[in-house]
Amino acid sequence: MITVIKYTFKEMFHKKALFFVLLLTLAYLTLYGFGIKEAYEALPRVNTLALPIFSEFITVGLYFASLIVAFLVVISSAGALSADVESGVMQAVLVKPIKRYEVVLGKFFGIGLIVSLYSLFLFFGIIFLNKALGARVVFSFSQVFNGALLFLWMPLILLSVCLWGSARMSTLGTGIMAVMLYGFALIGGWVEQIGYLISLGGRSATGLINAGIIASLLMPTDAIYRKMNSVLFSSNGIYFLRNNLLGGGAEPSLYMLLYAAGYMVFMLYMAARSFTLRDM
Amino acid sequence: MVIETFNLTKQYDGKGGCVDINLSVKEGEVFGFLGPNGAGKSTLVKTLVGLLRPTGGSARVLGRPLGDIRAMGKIGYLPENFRYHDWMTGLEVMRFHAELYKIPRPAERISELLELVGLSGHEKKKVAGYSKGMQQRLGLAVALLADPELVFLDEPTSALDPVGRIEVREIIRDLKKKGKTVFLNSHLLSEVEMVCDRVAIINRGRIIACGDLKDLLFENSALTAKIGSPAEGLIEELKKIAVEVKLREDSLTIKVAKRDDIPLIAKVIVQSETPLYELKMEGVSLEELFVNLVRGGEALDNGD
Repeated sequence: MITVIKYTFKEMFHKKALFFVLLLTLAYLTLYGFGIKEAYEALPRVNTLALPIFSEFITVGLYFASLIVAFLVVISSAGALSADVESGVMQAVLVKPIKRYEVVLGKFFGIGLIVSLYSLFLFFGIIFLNKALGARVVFSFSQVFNGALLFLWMPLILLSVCLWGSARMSTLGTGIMAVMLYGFALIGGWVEQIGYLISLGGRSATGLINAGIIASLLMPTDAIYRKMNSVLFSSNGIYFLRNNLLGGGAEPSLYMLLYAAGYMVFMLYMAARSFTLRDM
Repeated sequence: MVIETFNLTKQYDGKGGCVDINLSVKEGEVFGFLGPNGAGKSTLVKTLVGLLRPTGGSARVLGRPLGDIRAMGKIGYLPENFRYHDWMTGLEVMRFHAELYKIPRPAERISELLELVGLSGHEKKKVAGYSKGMQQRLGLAVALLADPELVFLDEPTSALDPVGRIEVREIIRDLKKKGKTVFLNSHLLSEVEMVCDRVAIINRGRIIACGDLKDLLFENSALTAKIGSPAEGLIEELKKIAVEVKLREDSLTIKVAKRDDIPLIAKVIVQSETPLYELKMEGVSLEELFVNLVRGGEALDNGD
């Protein structure tokens, strides 16, 4: 498995898509940095007014960063197994003394390593830009550490889904499925948050909230994003982003986090199983 | 036996593939597997190396069930429609596969094989820049990396020039000298005829002939005797030895079961005092045998 991890890691650096994503990242960080610099200069000096706005800008930055990471995950993993099967590369690999599940796990850890490094770079890049350009927020070590772990957990969940698709379907089919599921989770998150905001006004919005929960069960990435927000932006029991459409609302329960962990492991198991049973 | 199959079947949604394959391949032999395009040759090879899951029957390769990890370490395989990571150099491809085989310190083995297949000097070029023939040579080198006991070669010379084909034949002969078993999948009959000890012919997914190449060719050959007027009782005497005897004017066509029967046939003719002017074996080539069997099968299928 170590060999597959090593060569998957190497292969990622030979993909043009990675450099395209890196260029996109630089463009994004430049634009984002310019935007927050202009905004922060216009903000009031009073912290009680400015703090929620700083939090809003940081979470918006992380929200779009998570979209770029998701983009990287889909383009690098939708064909991780299927493209090699389709091209014939896999035929020569699978006749070696290696179990098929080791190939699946090797791809997961190889791509996951790059994606994790990239996610951490983006996460700390966003935090650094905000701090450097005037955001007067103070994060504790545990907030940043846990926030970063949750931020890189999201693409790993998406990666496990992509590998499951890639183990049994074509590259195109996997890409479409992954994008649709991820989009479904995003929209589900908004719907749930709209339901939450309506319920704050005293009206019942159980249907909307339940729709969001179902979306999270199908793809729990958005729930993890909301957990990350709650970890990063809660201080002394006050959650600054409660009314934020992109990722506020009620904090996902421990059960949802456990579900997300189980979901990822199950997807990897299904990927290994499908790949083991697949005719090459 | 290095390979044993028992009614091995692999079909796709109940169609195509190969059906009820019963084969035995002995250690140290070069076994040719022949068949027209789409007959099921590659399906069988892919099933034997664990790339396809059989839909029926069973098989053992190197004494282990299909796809067994311990057996895979002793098998080399050159796929028909192969490709290697085109972002790697030839040398990197070799190193990658050596790592998959868990070969300790493979550098010497790699350079030896690159030399053998004629890729020395090209090993640092990207595979994307290799010609089809160079890729096939690289594939052959990869197949031989682990010094395998059993080598599956699926159309190993399809992309090679005549010199390359001769070189591959020499490599196969060399493998045989070293006691390796080679399973050669090919539709190049001359190639098979030159290197194989035994062959099986598959058509429409089923084995239609299998055996020692010399025996198969002999079974489909006949003796032709140019004679004068046949003595009384000659034909009856010959029929006691031969499988089939036909008389046409001054020519006898005699099918015999074994080579040792030929001197007996000559003796019977001479002792009967029938003038014998010429006695020769009219052999068939593998190509003729193949075409007869495949076309014969199709004719039978058509109800002729």
